[in-house]
Amino acid sequence: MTARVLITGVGLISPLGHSAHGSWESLLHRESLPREHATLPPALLQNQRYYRIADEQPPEETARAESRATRLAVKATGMALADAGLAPADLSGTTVGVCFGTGMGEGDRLELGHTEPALPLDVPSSFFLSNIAARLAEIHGFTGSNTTLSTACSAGSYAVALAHDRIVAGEGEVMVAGGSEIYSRVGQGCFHRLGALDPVACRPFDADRKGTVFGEGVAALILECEDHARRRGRRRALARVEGSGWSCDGYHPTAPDPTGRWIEAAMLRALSAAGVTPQDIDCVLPHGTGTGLNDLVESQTLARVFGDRVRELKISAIKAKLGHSGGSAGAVACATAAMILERGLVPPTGNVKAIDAECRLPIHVDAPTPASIRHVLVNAYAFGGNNVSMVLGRV
Amino acid sequence: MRERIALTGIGLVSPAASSLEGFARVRAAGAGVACGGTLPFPDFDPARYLGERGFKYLTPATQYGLAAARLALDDAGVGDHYQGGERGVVLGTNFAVWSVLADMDATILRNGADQIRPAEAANFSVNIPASQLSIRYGFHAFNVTITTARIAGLEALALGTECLRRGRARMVLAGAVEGRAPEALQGYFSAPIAEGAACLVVLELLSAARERGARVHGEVGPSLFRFWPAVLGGPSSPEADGGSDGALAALIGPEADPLHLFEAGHGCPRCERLTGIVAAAAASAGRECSTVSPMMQVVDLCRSGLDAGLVVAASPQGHAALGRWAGAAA
Repeated sequence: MTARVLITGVGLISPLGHSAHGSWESLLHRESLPREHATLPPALLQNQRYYRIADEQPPEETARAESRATRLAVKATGMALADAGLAPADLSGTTVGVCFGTGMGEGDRLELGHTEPALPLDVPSSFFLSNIAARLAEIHGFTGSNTTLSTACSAGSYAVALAHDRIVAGEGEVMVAGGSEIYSRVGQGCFHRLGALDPVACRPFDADRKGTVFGEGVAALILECEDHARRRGRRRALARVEGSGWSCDGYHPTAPDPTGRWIEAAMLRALSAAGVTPQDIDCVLPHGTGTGLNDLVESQTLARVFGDRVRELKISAIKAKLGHSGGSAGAVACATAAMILERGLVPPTGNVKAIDAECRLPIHVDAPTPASIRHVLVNAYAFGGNNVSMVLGRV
Repeated sequence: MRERIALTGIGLVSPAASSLEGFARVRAAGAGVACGGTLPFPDFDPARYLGERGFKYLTPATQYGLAAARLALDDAGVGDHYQGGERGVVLGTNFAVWSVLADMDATILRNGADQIRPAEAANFSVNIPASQLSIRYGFHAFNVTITTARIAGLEALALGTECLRRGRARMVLAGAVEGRAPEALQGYFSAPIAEGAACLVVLELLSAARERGARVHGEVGPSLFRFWPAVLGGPSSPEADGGSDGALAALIGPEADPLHLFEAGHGCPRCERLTGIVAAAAASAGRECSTVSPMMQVVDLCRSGLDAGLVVAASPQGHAALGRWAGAAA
C-alpha cells in the first residue's frame, strides 16, 4: 500500500505577513498592492514595483551580511517545524531530507557584489543556488537528501512533488519542501524587457491585466509519512499530498502552448495520481499570474478538464495579493492550499475589477467563503512550459 | 521487483573531448575530464551539431546541452521510437547562467534594462537550457532542472531513473550542462575552470531497450544521497554526522563484492575531504580510483565494462552522492 503523506506543518513568510497565520489572515481580509521600491534611477529600470516582504532593516543592509533568501528560508523552516510540533527529540533517528525551489538563489547578495565589489562573498557557497537548502539543513540538522530545484516559476511545486515522491518511495519519512525567492534586479529587468510586468498590480484573469508583478515569498512545508506522525503521537495534520502530474509544453521559452494540451495533461495526470476525478475537486489555485495569454490558456484548459463542474469550483488566484514569487510560488500555493483544507475557508482573489469575458472562469473575488473542501488542485507553470499540477486533500 | 534501467546513449561535449572516442583517448592518457571545463573551449562549433541557424541567441551552456543531446540521442538510436509525451528531461547545472546574469546586471547598471535584447531576456532563467532541449527535440513528459552544488548531474540521473519506474516517462534524457564558472571560484578550485561542457545520457527501461534492440552501455544501480556538512568541519565521519542509518553500508555492500570506486576531484579541498571519507568507508576489494567529474564518472564506468562500480561525488557544501552502476558486460 502506498504511504499516505501528510503536511503536518507550514511556515510562510510573505508580503502579507511574517508567519503562516499572519499571511493567511491578510490573504482573507486585507487589501494588498505592490509598491515601487526604487534602488536604481528610472532611466535604468523603469519599473521597480513589486510586493516586498517587510523586514527589520532595508534589504540591501541585510544582504551585506547574509542573503535574505537564505535567512528567511531558515526562519520559515523553523516555523514549519514548530507548527508540526517537531522538536529535535522527535527527529532523532529520522533522516530528514530537503527539496527546495528557487530561481535566483542568493541573487540579492550577488547583485550587491556587482555594485560593491569589496563585499566579502562566501567562496564557494554563495555561488551555488543550493546554498539556501544547504544552510537551512545545516542549521536545522537535516542529513537526508538535499535537492535544489530550479524549474523557474514551477520549482516550488516540483519541490513538494519530489518530496512526496521520495516519501512514497521509502527514501525518507520526513521531508522539508519549499521555496525561497526574493527580489532580483536582473529578473525584474528581464521581465520588464519582455513587456511582462503589469504597471499597476497583479490582476489574474482581469480584463485589464497587463502582466505579472513579482512578490517575494518563502514557504516551508513539513511532509511526513502517516506512520511517522502516528509514532510520535501527532494527531493534527493540515492536509494530505495526494499526487502530482508533470508535463512540458516544449513550445517556446516564454510563451505557453496556446492549445493548453500539455497543461491539460499535467492536470489529468495529477488527478489520476491522486485517484480522484474532476468531480472530487472543490477548489483550484491556478497558476494565474496576470499575464495575458497564460491566464487565457489556463482558464480555457480548466474549463475543458472540469466541464460543467468548473462553475461549482472555488477558484482563488492568490498571486493578486502575494505577487508572483517565481521559484517559490508553487510552494507558497501548496502551503495556502493546505490551510484552505484545514480551515474550510477559501480566500478571495484581490485586485480583480472585471473578469476577462474570454477567461469565463468563476474566479472567487468576494469575501472569504466557508466551504467544505475535499481536494484542491494547485497549478504551477514556468518558462519553457515546465508544468506541474498537485492535488492536496483533506485529512 | 524494481524495473531495471539501462543507459543506452551518451553525448559528450567538452573542451577535452567531444566524442566517446576522444573521451577514451583522454582517459587512456591518464588525464581527468571535468564537467565544468578544464580548458578554454574555443573550438566548439554549434553548427556542427545544430545546423546553420537557430542558435544565435542561445547561451553557450544551452548550445552545449543541445549538442550533447543530439549526440546522445543519435548514440541511442531512438529516433522517434517514443512519443513526445513519453520523453522527459532532467538536467543538472550549477553555472549555466552565471556569466549571463553577470553580463545582464552590468548592462542594467550601466545602460539600463532597455538595452537587454528581448530575444535574450529569457536567458536569465537557469532552466532555459533544459527548456530549449524540450523545444528542439520534442520532449513533453516533463522538464526539470536541478541546481544542487556538484551533485546535480547525479541527482538528475537518479530522478530520471525514478521517473521511468513511476511511469512518468518511457525515455529520459538526463545529465549535466555547465557554462562559465564564476571568476571568484577560479582560485578556490586548484584546477582552472574556464568554460563549459555538457554530458547527457539516454535512460530507458532495460526491457524496452532490449526489445528495440538497443546497445546497452550500462545499467543503473541503487543510489544514495545525503547531506553531511559536519564532515567538512573537523575530524568527523558520516556516522558522527547522523549518517549511521545503515544506508551507506547497504549501498557499498559486503566486502567480498568487488567494487571499483570512481571519485570526483576538482582540486576542491572540501569536496575531496568528504569524498575521501566516503571512499574510506567504501574501502573494499578491487578498489580503483580515478579523477573525473561526476557525470563523466558514469560514462567512464560504463565504458569500463566493470560489473560493479560505485560513483562518488561530493559538494563543498556537504552534499554526498553515491551511485552504483554496472557496465555493459554485466
